[in-house]
Amino acid sequence: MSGNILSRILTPVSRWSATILAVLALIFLLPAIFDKVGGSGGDEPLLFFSPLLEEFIYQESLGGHQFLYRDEQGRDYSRQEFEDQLPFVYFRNLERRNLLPMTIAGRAFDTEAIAADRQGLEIRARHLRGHHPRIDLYPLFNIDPAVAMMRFPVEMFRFTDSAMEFLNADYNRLDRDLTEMFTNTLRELGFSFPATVIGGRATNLKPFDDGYFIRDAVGRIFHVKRVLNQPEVVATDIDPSLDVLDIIVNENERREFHGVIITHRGEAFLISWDDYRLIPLPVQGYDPARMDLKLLIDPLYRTVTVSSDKSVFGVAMNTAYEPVRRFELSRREASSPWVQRMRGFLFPVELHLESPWRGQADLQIQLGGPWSIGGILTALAVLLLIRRGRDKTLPGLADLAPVALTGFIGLLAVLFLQPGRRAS
Amino acid sequence: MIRSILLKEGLKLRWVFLAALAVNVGFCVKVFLDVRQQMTTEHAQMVWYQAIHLQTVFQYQMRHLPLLTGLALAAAQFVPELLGRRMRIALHLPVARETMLAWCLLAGLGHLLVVIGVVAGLTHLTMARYFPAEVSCSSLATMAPWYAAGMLGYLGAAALLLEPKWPRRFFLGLVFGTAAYVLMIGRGYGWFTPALPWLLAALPLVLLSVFEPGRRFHQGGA
Repeated sequence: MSGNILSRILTPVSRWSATILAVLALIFLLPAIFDKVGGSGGDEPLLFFSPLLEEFIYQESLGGHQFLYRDEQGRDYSRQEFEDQLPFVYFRNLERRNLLPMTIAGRAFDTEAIAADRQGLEIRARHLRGHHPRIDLYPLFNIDPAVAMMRFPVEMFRFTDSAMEFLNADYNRLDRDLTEMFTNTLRELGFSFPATVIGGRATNLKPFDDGYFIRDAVGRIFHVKRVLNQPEVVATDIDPSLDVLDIIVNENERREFHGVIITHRGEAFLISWDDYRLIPLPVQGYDPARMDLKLLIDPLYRTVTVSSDKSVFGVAMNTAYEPVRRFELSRREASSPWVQRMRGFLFPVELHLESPWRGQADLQIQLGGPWSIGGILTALAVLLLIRRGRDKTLPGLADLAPVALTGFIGLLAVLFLQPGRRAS
Repeated sequence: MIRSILLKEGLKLRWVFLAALAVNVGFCVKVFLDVRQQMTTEHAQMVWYQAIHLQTVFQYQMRHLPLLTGLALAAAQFVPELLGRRMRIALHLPVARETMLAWCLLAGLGHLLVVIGVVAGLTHLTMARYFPAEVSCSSLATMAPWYAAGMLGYLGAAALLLEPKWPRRFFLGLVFGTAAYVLMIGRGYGWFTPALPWLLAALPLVLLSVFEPGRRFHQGGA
């Protein structure tokens, strides 16, 4: 008897479990197949400020390696005309065509002058702290002016609740001397352990090492370097109340700034080279969780662009970082309206694991648009017709619920997993 | 009766289990030797750099092993029973169908968990010997979805083998295949970690979903 009770409970539970699993698998799989077949996605538009036009000009992907080159006024350009409007970006091409030096805004620029005063920096949402798997162990390069090559240090550091610990890779053990030296230096400067944000570049593929910017437990930011094996630490005056999300260090021979501070509220500040003064970037509306930020510096202008899945907006600034022009470009829909409607009709619910804004699994349920309602109603009608035609019965809750929630996907699950007829 | 079921399952599984254990341990030893060799031929800090900043997962070559182990254990447990039609006899023993099936599955999962436990332990020992604790912990988190794929593979294969009708077997294959694929798509360490709580919630569904094919097998596809 107890077996019968167990069976009566487990049979529907098992069917529901299989249906839920099937729906989860299909709302992940079928939209992915649809995208593969229907084609989706396109390159992000490239937005630049042209110093010749003194307005924005952009390259937009039409799919299939076709590009459109256009300026703010809607004027179309060929690829070469586009490059000609951006002499600080494509200066190597201009040099080969013997078009340099070039006079812009009353100043003459040759190859060397342009190359020396260019800097590019890209901050992708997927690389920010918390958006990417990261192990908090960092190499602190030993700056030695007598050595040309940047040798990778044998120690890596981490922060605990009471120390800046160095671990030796040769022995996989704590280096007590370095730990004590750096911890004491930080303590003397009033560092409150543990560190809350650590920003630096753990690579020797850079022109020089600028150490790490480390935010302590009360929000103060310290600049930590290792020079001739000794700590060189600066307690900066950067506002401790800043809600810092991440600090991106960018070593560049121009030495205008150390890097960028990004806050949770979407503010972006450059940390000036000489005095750690913050230079705000005009990026109102920037959401670091789901937007990418680029800063492009040339001899005359600084251009910051912020791209989301809906648009790309750019602000051109003069050398004092004062905005001179703004432009927003809506992103072109990658697929045709017909394909989008079909997608909504077939997939009222989609499951996505990957996101352009995160470097690890990001489980997201995405709901379809108004066409999904039509899809669900059609799927319900098909279910009713099949049930009436096959068994002369009406579907029960176990069949109706998946179809009412997920349309044709639920219908597939229900039709494949419904109880069969008993074999003779 | 339950002891008898477990003994029967143990006897069915022992050789495949021992073979799977040997293969898994063999790969663990290979990973250890690979890391040790790299540590002696390169500068240790560069190997740390690869592990910590370039996100090299040294045990990546082992990612399909739990899935294959699960499939092999399910095959060893259910294929002979189904081919010899002994399962139908077992289902007529004086024990509830669900109880018998549950103990069969738990026996198989138990063997799989032993293999997974040994692999996790050996990998942890290798990583803890050559890397800081953060790296060895990250290794285990990286391998967690692979282990889940092993359990999913075992339970999914059991459901497929028990299912009497081909269209439904094909559909279940698509569902479990998709789920196993999702568990394997991670790149670099800890890629899947944010989704692990959802995975833990979904695994009991996979276990429960085997009982319906078991019932259908018992009742001739009804």
